[in-house]
Amino acid sequence: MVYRPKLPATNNNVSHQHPLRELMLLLAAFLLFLLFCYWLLGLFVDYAADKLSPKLEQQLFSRFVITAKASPEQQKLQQLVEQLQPCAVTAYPVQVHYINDPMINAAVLPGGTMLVYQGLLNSIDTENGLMFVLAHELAHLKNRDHLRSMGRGLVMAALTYSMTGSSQLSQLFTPAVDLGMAQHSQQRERAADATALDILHCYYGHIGGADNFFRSMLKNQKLSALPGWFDSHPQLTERLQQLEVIAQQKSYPQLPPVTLPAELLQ
Amino acid sequence: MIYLFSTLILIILGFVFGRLAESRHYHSIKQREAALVNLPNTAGRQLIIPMQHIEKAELVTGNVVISVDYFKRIVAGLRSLIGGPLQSYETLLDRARREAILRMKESCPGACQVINIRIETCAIHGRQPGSIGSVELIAYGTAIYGAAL
Repeated sequence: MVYRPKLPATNNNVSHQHPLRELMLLLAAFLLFLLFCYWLLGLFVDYAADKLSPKLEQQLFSRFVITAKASPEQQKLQQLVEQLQPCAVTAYPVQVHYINDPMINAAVLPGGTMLVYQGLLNSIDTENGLMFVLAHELAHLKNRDHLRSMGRGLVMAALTYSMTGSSQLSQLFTPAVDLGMAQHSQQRERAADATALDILHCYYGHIGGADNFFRSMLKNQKLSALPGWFDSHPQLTERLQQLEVIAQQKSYPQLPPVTLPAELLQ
Repeated sequence: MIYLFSTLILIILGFVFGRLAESRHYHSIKQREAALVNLPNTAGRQLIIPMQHIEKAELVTGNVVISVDYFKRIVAGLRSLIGGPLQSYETLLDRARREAILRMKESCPGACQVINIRIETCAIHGRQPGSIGSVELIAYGTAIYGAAL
């Protein structure tokens, strides 16, 4: 036997695939799995939100309820919301807070706290318009949207934390998830608009002045060239259109609206 | 946000410098393998070159410690969730094995042959429990000096 030294021509002990390609494939598979988990858990959140009894919800969130600071505006708003209650049946009492801030917003929190900002009052000039906004927020409560968005946010934070060790990243984790959340949110907003219109019709007998807030916002809005896929609310023009369509479908009459009460006129 | 950026930067650094170090190491390995190809070596226990006269026989070793870069670690982490061949560690261990054998051969200049070569691996654990920080390879054998037939 003669020893003939020779080096191997190729290296069979390593794979010759580019490492970045492997990383991309793994990441894609991983993210798809996460998206699927998020979608599945979202369904569970919806189911839980529908099935949660109002009494239990009130018990769970009672610690979040803060007594409102009394002011003429707050008392008037509280009175208006209570007047709406027969038409917008909420299972537990709603506490209205008036916030003297130029931000144009109104919100509802778990437990039945409603926030109304001064900026919103500045954008509305009829009582009907204000009642539509209040009815919209009550509709959110009725549809348990606050629970849904909280549940989804929690699912997102939990998934992000389990993968990256930080729940702060949930807001920028995947654009696709943001899109999903935005679409879901827009859907809930449309539903709340539709319910609010019904509530308004129940209270006044007509829907004159319902579009007051949207038209006022439309006048002051800077038009954006970007599509509104990622917005939490549908576009204003779309919302106005939806109101008209529903009004036509249900043959809601339009009569002149009532002016704002004295305490809220600025 | 800081967490995400620092992770991304570490991954990019790991990838760039890891690839650079790897290609330089492979270049050096190929050069030295070509230089040392004429030294017969075997894992068997018998002499492969018949000897006329054996001057001495001694234990020779070569060992090397090679570390994993961050990019490889991330890919390995994802692989451990999904399963399949762990390609990112293949080059690491291939280099380590070849380097250890080369060092063993380089430690016995003038030897006629090296027989009974064994290779052993030792994983040195990283900071996080369960992760591999670096791997140590030792190659050892018996170097035979003397006059071949």
